[in-house]
Amino acid sequence: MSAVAFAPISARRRRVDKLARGGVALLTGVALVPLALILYYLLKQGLGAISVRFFTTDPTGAFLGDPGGIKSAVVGTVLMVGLATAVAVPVGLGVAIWLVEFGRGSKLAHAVRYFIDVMTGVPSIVFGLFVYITLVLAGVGGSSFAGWKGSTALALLMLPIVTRSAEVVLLLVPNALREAAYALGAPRWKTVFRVVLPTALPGIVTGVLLAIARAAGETAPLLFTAAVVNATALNFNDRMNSLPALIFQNVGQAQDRLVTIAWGAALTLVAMILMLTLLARLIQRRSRLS
Amino acid sequence: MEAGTIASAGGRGSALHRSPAARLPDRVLRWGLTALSLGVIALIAFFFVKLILESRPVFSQVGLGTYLTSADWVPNKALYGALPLIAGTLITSAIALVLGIPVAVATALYITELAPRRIRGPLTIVVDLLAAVPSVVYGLWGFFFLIPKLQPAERWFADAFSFIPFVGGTVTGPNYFVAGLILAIMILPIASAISREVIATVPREHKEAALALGATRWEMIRMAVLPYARGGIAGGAMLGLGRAIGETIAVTLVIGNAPVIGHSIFQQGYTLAAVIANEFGEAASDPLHRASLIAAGLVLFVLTLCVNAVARGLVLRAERGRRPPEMAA
Amino acid sequence: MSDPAPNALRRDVSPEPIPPAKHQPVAPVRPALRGAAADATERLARAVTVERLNAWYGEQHSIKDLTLSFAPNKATALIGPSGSGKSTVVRCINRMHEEIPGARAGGRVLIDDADVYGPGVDVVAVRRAIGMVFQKPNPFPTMSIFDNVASGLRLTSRKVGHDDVERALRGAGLWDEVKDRLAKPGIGLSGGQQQRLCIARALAVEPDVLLMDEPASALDPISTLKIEELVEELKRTVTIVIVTHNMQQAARVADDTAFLLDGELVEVGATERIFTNPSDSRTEEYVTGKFG
Repeated sequence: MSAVAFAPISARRRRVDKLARGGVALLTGVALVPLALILYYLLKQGLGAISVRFFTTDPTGAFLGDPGGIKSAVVGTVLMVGLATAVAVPVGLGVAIWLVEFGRGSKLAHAVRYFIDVMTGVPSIVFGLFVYITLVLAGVGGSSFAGWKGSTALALLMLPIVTRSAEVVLLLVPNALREAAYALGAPRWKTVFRVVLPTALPGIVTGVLLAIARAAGETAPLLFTAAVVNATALNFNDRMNSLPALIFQNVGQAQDRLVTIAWGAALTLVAMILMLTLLARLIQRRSRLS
Repeated sequence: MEAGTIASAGGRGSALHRSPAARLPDRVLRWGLTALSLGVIALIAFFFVKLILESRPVFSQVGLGTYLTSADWVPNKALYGALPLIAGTLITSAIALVLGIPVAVATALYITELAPRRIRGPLTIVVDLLAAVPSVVYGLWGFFFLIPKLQPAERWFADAFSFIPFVGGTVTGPNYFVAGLILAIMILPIASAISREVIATVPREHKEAALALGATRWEMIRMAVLPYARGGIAGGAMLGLGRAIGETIAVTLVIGNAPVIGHSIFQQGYTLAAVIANEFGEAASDPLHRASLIAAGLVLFVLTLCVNAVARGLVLRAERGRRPPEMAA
Repeated sequence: MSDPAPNALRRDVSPEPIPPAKHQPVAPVRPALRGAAADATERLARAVTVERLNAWYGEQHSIKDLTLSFAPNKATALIGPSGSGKSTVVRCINRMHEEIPGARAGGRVLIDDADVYGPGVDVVAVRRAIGMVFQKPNPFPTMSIFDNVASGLRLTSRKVGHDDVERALRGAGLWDEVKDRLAKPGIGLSGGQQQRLCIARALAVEPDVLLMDEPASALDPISTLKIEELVEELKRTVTIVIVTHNMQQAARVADDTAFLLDGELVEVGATERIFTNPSDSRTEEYVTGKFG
């Protein structure tokens, strides 16, 4: 029998529905375009620069002639981010543990969480400014710009990320686990380190990896804390190069070869960050808590 | 909450007490971590105070009012009016919101409500991948690709729509619009992620109520999903705004760094964050210049504080749901 | 007000005189009652016939070849233990079942002569013609009482008059309680009032059939009673299908009762007979409380 009894809805409503849904899908497609373009350009412009020599030579800083490679930048990024991680993770984790295991619900915890939230919103350049004022201008450690000062700025950046994500994961650990440990007579510290942390470890590692990925890509805080320098530095008290700073320095250059260096460095940086991000997601997916 | 060991080692003393030595690690841990957490608060407060102190020279010499309202930023002449910087920050952020938030909400809607199930996961990953690109790479791409490619289109637009205020006039390569566009792309992942979360929590019963009344899919979204989610979406937008305000490197590479207030969105400008990154080198030897840059950082800090506070409030309220107290039956 | 004995019945309701127009062929457009008197008089309601309905949730075959009729201008109750498929059947009538991911249905559901699952049928139009009231009251949280009632009407016409809203609220027995606060939020009402608000919202679009999926199970006894009285009223203008796990409720409000078990129709008939003299032993075990 026919569908006559169901007066069909007006053509206008049909049209609006189709248009709206099409519009939403279209905008979603639009959102994907920049990523595709950036990846394409990175590969197109940067692959040409990649070679073994690229990673094993320092930038020469010479305007004409051989521009060199990016060795000092890679080394600098690894060193500075490494130091920053070594500081930010224990501190960030410590604060998260305190928030969940010791201070939960207290007024102080509210204040701490509020300040951590504030920190997540602070622009990275302001962190650089902090370090600049307190460490660089004052010449702390006998130097003005130094790698470890850059690390400090990065650590400040990473701290709220580590704390936030660790707190979320620690809260996900079922209380029943803690209570089981207490019931067996375990003291607080043993429960935290032997029961809670191991359970939360994948989630914590995920958060740490994401924080590292974030720190590796930051330029602004390094500009006036570690400065930019061409030679590979292994002493944290010296100025240190970094991938983002190198890229930034070479963007405005009129010399094509320097620009290619910049693209190659950018490709390297994005590859590093992508690997860290993918690793983090992989661990997160296999975690029992998520 | 500290459990005493019943089966205590060696049976020394009462089975229900631990020796002070055994309790030590717990106390060390507790007080150590408390000190750490307090230390973090102290650190932030200290930095804030330091920012204020170090920027005082410019406030005493130039005056807070002049600093915030004068449009003349000429360090050579010791003129420090931050209005072009503040204006540039606000203009680029506004463009970023106008361009970015609709797209972010659209992706969130599409992923949660409209997309076929199988592509939801991959689509989410791709949208979130935008967050993995560091800002300097955005700047690099913007500088070499966006600026030249967009210029003809911008020129056409400025001519065709010159009746719209702030559109007509000359078009420079680097300009507010390109900066705003790049910012829009950068805030997309966070705004989309938060919107997705909020849209996913719309209770099924409201969606079903709309559908059962004879609503099309889009009408259902308009009736049941968007009104419910709008608080959280606004919160996500604010968080994106906070991010846009503070973004330095990508902006400074594409905005032209001209300390003026451009007459159209297709002209050069400057932002608070960009000026700090660009001029601190020359300011190293000029204390007043340095103080003015630090003051710019202070203004930036305060701006992001306010925006993020609003954002947090919105997201919190959205999470708590809407349950006004029941009226008398 | 509920009678403890499972065989207890309400007083017999004499059947409403059925207008002769009932047997006329289906008109292309339903006679509109907009602008008629605020108290709706008897109106032509449609018969619902479920023919060989099958429904699945993914791989799980939930409704098995079910055939069942619902008489117009009557209330028919669907009873049965949890999981027997009562809600599923009802949701198949207005094609809400397929909104669940992985769910599908097959068979015919006829509203008079029109198959809801027919080729080319607009599912949106189907849902407009069939109203639904859910177990948990679900007024739109961001809308006022007025806007909630008007929400269905606004889908098809821009201007919704005060009269339309008043008529729907009167039909739901809620008008007197909310007439002074139509602009207040819909969720500020008590649970029972919210449910009647949802009923008003469904009535506003003048459906032919009203599906009620355990409409009072989340409510207190007084609200439940009000809803049941409403069903008695509403029968005059719509065909009602009411799912309930409360047998006393079925006995109170329904003219006919159908007993479902494991997705199959066991028995259907006049409520009085089902409860006092069921033909199937399973029905008897259920209504006497031996299981379920």
